Amino acid sequence: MKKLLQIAGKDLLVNAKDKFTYLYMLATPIILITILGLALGSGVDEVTVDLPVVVQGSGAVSNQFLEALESIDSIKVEKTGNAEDAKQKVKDGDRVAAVVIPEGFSDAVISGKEADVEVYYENETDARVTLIKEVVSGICEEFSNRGKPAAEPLVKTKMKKISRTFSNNSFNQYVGGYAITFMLFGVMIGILSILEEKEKGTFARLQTMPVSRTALLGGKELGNFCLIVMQAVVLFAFGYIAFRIDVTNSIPGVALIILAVSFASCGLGLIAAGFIKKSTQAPGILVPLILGMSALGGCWWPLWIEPPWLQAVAKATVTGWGMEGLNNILVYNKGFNSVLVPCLALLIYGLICFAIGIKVFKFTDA
Amino acid sequence: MISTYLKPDSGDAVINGKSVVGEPFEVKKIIGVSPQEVALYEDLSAEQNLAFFGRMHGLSRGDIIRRTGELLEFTGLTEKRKKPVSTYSGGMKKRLNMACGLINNPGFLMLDEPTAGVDPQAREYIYDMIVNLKKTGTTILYTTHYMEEAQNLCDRIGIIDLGEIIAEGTLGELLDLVQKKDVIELDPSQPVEDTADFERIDGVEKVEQEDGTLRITTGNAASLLGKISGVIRKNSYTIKKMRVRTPDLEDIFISLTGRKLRE
Repeated sequence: MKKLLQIAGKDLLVNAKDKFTYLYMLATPIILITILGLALGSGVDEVTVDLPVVVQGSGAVSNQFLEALESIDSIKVEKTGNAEDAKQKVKDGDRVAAVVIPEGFSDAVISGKEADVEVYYENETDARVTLIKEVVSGICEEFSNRGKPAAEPLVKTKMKKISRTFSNNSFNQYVGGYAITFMLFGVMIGILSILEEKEKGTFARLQTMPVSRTALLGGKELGNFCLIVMQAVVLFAFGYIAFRIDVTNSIPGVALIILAVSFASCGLGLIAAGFIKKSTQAPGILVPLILGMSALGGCWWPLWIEPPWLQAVAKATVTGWGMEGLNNILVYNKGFNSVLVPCLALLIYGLICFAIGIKVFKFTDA
Repeated sequence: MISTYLKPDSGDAVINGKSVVGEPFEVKKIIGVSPQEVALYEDLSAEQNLAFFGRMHGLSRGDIIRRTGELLEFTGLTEKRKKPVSTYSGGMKKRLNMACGLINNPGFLMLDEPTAGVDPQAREYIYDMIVNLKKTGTTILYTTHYMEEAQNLCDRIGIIDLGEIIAEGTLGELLDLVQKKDVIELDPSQPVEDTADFERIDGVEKVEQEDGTLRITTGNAASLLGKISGVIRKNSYTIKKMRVRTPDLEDIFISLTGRKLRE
């Protein structure tokens, strides 16, 4: 164990002496986070929003209202029986809004009385909420004009904000996303370190010394793990200081996600180190993989704008689970418990990767 | 395999009573290895490299400080001890490479071509280091392509050809093995028409004339030089140059392995 720590310490020292490490691991993501966060803001275009709709009671007009909602391309109606369930989904951040058509709605419209359609939402600045509000208001206006003309529209949209606040800081997404992307690039540095040690002969030399293979490989992995954890800490600290990202929602939760992502990523890196033969091959293989995983896992944009099948595929990536955990805290303002499932998934993911990695890793070239 | 890096398909080597196959971890503790390629951390200083490899050998902090100081002195790197290895010359790197193999004060040191690719001054320095190491009683397994090095530095020599040891012994034993003789070479101004006078000298085994050079093969060149001079005077030959070639390790090597190129 002592030697394992010493090897890890040596790796950190070697990296600390390489100026390009700082540039690569810190300056580049900070610049990208800033530029893309500012450039993209929180704008949302051409998306389909899942919308729970509760029809309380019965009646032809209520059903017509529901059909009108279903006819909107950008809204995918999820008919729900229980209003509390629908509101809870909004509260949990699983849905941005829910619509409740109250009991007696049909009778009120038919008899020319005032009737309300309730829209529950978390964050009024979310473009998807605006979209739903506009759509519901439009339909309400259409239904108002069915009866005799009145000075005031008879069918109104009643917007009801659910108490829990939803973060509208786009940097919550971008800092978390780019931090995970560049943590993967940090793993690439670890892979390169192993390959370069093999090429320069220090890896072979260490194997002629009284150092176990567990200590040797464990030390390399621990060094890399510590490096990317430190990288993530710096990036999140930067995000908090510069852009006030909501890490304070649950600092232990963010910390746990950082540790879990680092662990799973290192496991993934060990598999890569087993398959890649030369350090010169590594960037060519790993950069597209990292960028692909980042895009797939929702590091650069909210995962919900991706098609459902891609969202399912994201569950097979470190980035997907990592972003789910981070978004729960940073974007949806959930607490520590919300990261437990993603962290457990990342832990299992990492253990599987380490098991495969140890199997495929070659200590000697002969 | 002796360094324990690779497991042998068969066979074994025993170092100080420890089996390379059966007790590799014990063997690792008592050997030192200096690989052919410089295997160092270039971003770290000499001191940091030595300290790290010392820690890998389980040396105490005090031992590391003492041993690092001794080896930096031994390799002439004390002044540069805090500079990154990347700033060192090839010779300095080779010396540090060897020093790292000595950090645990091994009784058995493996040196793989320590002078490959270094300038003559650095090579001489390394030779001195090896001679001094020998004096301390360290057993050195020295791998080289330079026959002169093996001849000058080694007590016993093994010749490996195509992965197999084809001869092993002291220089004298190897000379006996190939029965190599001294050759006296004469460059006369005119070709010698009749070599009979040379052939009649007692101790001369063979006389050949090729490309204007007369080659006299004998078991002991030194004892025949006077008699050969007598033949030259008697026949009034004019000799431009005279050389005596005694067989060396290179002759032995070529004699044993042939002149065909090795891939």
